[in-house]
Amino acid sequence: MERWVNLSGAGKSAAPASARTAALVEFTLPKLLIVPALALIGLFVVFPLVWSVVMSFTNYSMLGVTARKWGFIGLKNYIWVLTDPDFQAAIANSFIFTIVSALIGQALLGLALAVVMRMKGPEGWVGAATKVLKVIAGALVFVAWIIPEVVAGYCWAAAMSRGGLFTAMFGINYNFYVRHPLQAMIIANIWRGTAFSMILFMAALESIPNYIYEAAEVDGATPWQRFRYVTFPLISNALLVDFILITVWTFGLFTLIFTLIGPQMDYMWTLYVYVLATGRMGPPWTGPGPLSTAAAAADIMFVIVLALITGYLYALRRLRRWA
Amino acid sequence: MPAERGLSIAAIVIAIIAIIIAGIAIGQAMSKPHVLTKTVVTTVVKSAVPVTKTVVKTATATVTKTATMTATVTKTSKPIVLTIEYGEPWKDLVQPAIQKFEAWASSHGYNVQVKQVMLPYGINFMQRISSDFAAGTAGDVVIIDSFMIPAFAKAGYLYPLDNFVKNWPDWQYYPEPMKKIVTWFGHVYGIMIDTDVRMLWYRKDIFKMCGLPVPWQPKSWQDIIKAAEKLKSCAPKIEKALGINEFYPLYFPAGTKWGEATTMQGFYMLLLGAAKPPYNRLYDYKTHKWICKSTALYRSFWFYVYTYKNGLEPVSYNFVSNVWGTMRKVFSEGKVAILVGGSWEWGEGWGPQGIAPLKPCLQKCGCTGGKCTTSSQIQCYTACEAQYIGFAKMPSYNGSRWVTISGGWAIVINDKLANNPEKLQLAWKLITFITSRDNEAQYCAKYGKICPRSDCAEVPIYAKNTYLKEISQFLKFTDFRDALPGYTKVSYAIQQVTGMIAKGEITNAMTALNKYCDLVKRYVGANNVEVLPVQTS
Amino acid sequence: MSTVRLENVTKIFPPNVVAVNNANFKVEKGEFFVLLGPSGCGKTTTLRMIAGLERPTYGKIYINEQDVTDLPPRLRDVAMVFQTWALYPHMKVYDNIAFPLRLRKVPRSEIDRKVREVAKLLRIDDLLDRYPKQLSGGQQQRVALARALVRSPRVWLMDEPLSNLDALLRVQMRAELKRLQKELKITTIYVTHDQVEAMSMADRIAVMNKGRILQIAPPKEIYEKPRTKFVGGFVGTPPMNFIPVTFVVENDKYLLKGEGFSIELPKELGEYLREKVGDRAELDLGVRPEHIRISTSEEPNAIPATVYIVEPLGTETIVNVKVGETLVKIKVIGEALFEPSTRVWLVFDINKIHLFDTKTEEAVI
Repeated sequence: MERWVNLSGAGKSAAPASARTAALVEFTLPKLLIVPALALIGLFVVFPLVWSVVMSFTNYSMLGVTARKWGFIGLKNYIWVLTDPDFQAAIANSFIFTIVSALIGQALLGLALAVVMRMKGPEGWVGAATKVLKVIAGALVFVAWIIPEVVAGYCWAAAMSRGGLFTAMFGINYNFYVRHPLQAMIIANIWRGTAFSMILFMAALESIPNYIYEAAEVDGATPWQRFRYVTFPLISNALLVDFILITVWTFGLFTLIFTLIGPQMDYMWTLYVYVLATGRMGPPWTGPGPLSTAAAAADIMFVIVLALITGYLYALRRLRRWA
Repeated sequence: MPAERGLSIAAIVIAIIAIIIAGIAIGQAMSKPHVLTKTVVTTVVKSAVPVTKTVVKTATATVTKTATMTATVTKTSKPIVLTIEYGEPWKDLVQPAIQKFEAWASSHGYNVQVKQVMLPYGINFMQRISSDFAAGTAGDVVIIDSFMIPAFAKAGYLYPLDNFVKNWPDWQYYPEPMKKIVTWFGHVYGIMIDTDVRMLWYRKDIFKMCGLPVPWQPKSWQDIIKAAEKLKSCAPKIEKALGINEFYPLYFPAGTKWGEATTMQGFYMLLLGAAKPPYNRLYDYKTHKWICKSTALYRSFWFYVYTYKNGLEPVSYNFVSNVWGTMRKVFSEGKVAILVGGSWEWGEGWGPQGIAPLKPCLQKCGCTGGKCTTSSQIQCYTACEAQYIGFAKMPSYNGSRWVTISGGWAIVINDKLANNPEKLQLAWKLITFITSRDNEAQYCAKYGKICPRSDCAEVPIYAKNTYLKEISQFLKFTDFRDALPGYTKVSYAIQQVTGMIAKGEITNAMTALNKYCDLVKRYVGANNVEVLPVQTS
Repeated sequence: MSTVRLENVTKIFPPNVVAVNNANFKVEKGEFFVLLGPSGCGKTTTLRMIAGLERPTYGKIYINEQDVTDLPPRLRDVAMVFQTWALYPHMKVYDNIAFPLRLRKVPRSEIDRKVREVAKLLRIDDLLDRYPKQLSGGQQQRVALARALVRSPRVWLMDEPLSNLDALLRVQMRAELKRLQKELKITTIYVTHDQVEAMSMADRIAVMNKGRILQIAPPKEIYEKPRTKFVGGFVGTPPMNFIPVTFVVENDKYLLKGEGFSIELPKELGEYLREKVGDRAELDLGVRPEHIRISTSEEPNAIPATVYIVEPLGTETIVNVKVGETLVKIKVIGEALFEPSTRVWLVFDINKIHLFDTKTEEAVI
């Protein structure tokens, strides 16, 4: 602290020039070096965020008169969006989609797969065969994760078409993704995202030492109790981190869903924003491509996601106390 | 530790509040100049919207004045750069014209350079052009979708061409509908460069199979429904004969997946014939209001409800990931017998090199790989195609007249040239080269598109194409969309409601009409709609 | 209080590593039984088999004469303290101790009473509200003990529970453990590689090496009558000295001849030896450092040696001398001032020498 005060008054102090230069390099230079990064963050993160909030209070649009002479219109966009039955349906469906496909589907399936992957197989050839199967299953799940979303979306559309995979396997003689868009979205997203949760949980399970399980075993825990009281609390940290990430990803998912079910704006809020921003519909006061209204819708979702994440982080803090 | 947690939550809350406050503050600051006075606004956007007579007059004055000046001004040594922005599909229309224009310019002593901005296939032209206009980087001469003219004109992006076309002898060769498409509130903003019409496509082989007359020309909506119902009763026979697993007599596009096509290919074809003009539209040009309810709207929704409810139309084709491809495929396979569609489908859809050529014709003409390549194969295929596929004019509700609707692309001048009379003159000159009879005829014949000029028929290469010649007759009674600002939203309401009908969520024409009216009110504002009396019989 | 009995227990890890080879022993009620041996000798595997964490390849395990070979750990009612203590990191001390009781659906009030009782006994009652990460090694160790104690198991199994503690704490805990075990009279099987620990705590010790149990006996007997050269060498600090000798009978004298020396054995001992090994045999003479006296002058039956290094340890001194090429350690009480290279004579306490067959390494006397 004292040194710091000295430095700020470097002109008055009698410190030799070399010391001053050294101090400059040691203390001031690092701060200067941060500036470009801060500027970039400001330009690409903070500015768009602020701009989207600004825009949502105007009647700015991509085309039409309001593209050039836009003005400040207060909360009209927010009210219009919030009273739109399609937006309400989109929010409800977004939540259902996120909860069922990410929190239940991806996380649960990922956890189950991770536990199975970590299980010790029996000795002999059965064990060897299970090992090979595990490697293949792991690779397949992983492939689902690295396939581009557009490809995945169209693949699922093909699989769920009449005469496609679903017809061959389950005898569904209609276009599944047309009649049940929400279910189709959920299936595709579970398929796609399970690998991430699985990998995360595998790493978390790997970090639990074996002797903890043995202690629990000797203490009298059944396999289920071992999972419930030992495995589960010890990976709950990872579970929450996983929840945060997959919630954010699933909530913001666009490409996969768009390629699968198209611009059906009442099924997902991202599709709603897309339909708005591309100028297919919007409130009376803005021109085609009501970016301002779309920004309002996006900002509402931003606040919702932020609230969710804050909740998760709070839970995470509580959990982490023992670590 | 609790202190730390409290701190971070507080930080997040404060950050959000700060962002919102900053947003409001910046918004206020930035919007101020526009709020100041109305006079500022009108001066800023001079040529926008219902332009007052005085403004037009001054504009005219400038133009005429500069016209006389051109000869002297252009002798400068510095070249004038004229930018033209267009999509790749119009390459063969624009490039030969540019050559001729440059030759003309040099022989007349103009030092001018044409810079081309060609937007390649694969990008959404209108999205790109829209953002170019919004950013002020659009070309001096631009080729745009004609239905964007009102929106662009209202935004002040387009320079009115009234004084140019007034003295342009070629203007007379454009049929009235082709003039109307590019006109907005009395001012001409562009010249059509290609167009299309819509009609009923039908399968001659299936009609014969079911004992229906070929050629077929329905006289009213009832004729269409009757034919469809008869075809439905023949479905098992047809499915067996063609080896298909499903069959639908009729297909009018519905739903949001089709986007604008639902409105233009499907709904408008009904609406325009559903009542007498001017009550057969979406917009009332007398009251300047969108029509929320009318007999015509009711009847059009009724047609959708009746045909979809009774299983005459396929539901899921409207929601598959590739609606266009599916539509062409199922018609080619015979899964759909009557289809409302565009004139381009003859070539693009089921032609010898189309997306879904007819299998029996491919076989017959020995075409391999799903395409005919040699000229003899193409000749053979085209003859064969005519045996399988026919087209009929869409009748009005009660058979009093024929109905079709046209779209197409137009060439416009960027309003930023308004203060540069010399460039403006040159831009217009370039347009006249592009839209010249021979250039248009050459291009349209090559691409199988309908030429918007009636005198194209005098050019042998165009006249030779019997199909084009035949459908060019449609231009006499063709109509256009009510593509005013707000049109896309109204169109979207139609897509939503027809989608609900197709899915079976709406099973009554009146419910559909009410839903439509609610949506339109939301989208354009309750003050901007009117309710006309509805006759439900 | 229970008994534990192992019957021909063998454990082979695939492909063919024999970890435990035909173990047979019985632990009596309330006994403190120590499995002692170097690392890798199979002692931990034996313990894990008793706990049920490993299944024997052959043989049977009985607790209270009930066959538990195929029972999973939770049904054996044994408690185990791990080398790493294996506390649950996400549970507070209280919950760690209460965990086995909760699994058994013991009523809440009873759990609370027992946890506090045990915590008090182990002097950790003021730590109940902490997480394991917040405790010192000794405290964690006591929590682990408390967790093993709290439900009064039939058998207490401990796998080197003191090895992760520092030296001083280890000595303290040794005493405490022993006291607890005697107070509670719980049958205990204790695994260690530390012979001092084994000697100071055990009622009986089983010395293991390379999967085999070499000797089972009370500490005193292990010390005084090692059955093999390995047992003799493993127990005691500094370890037993081994000098290769040849037993010969010459002119009715029974002699142990080594490199440059010869010791005459008393007659009874000599005759006994002759009966056992014959007239001539290669043997290893084993003698503990404390059973050797250093003489500065030549005496009868003394062995000449040269002083090599002297290690003063305060109350005692270890003198390293060389007999021929063999290094011999001698423990001398108090200070001993020898210059290196001094010639000295070693006198063995003849009643306390051990002789092992060089080939079989088994004790002959």
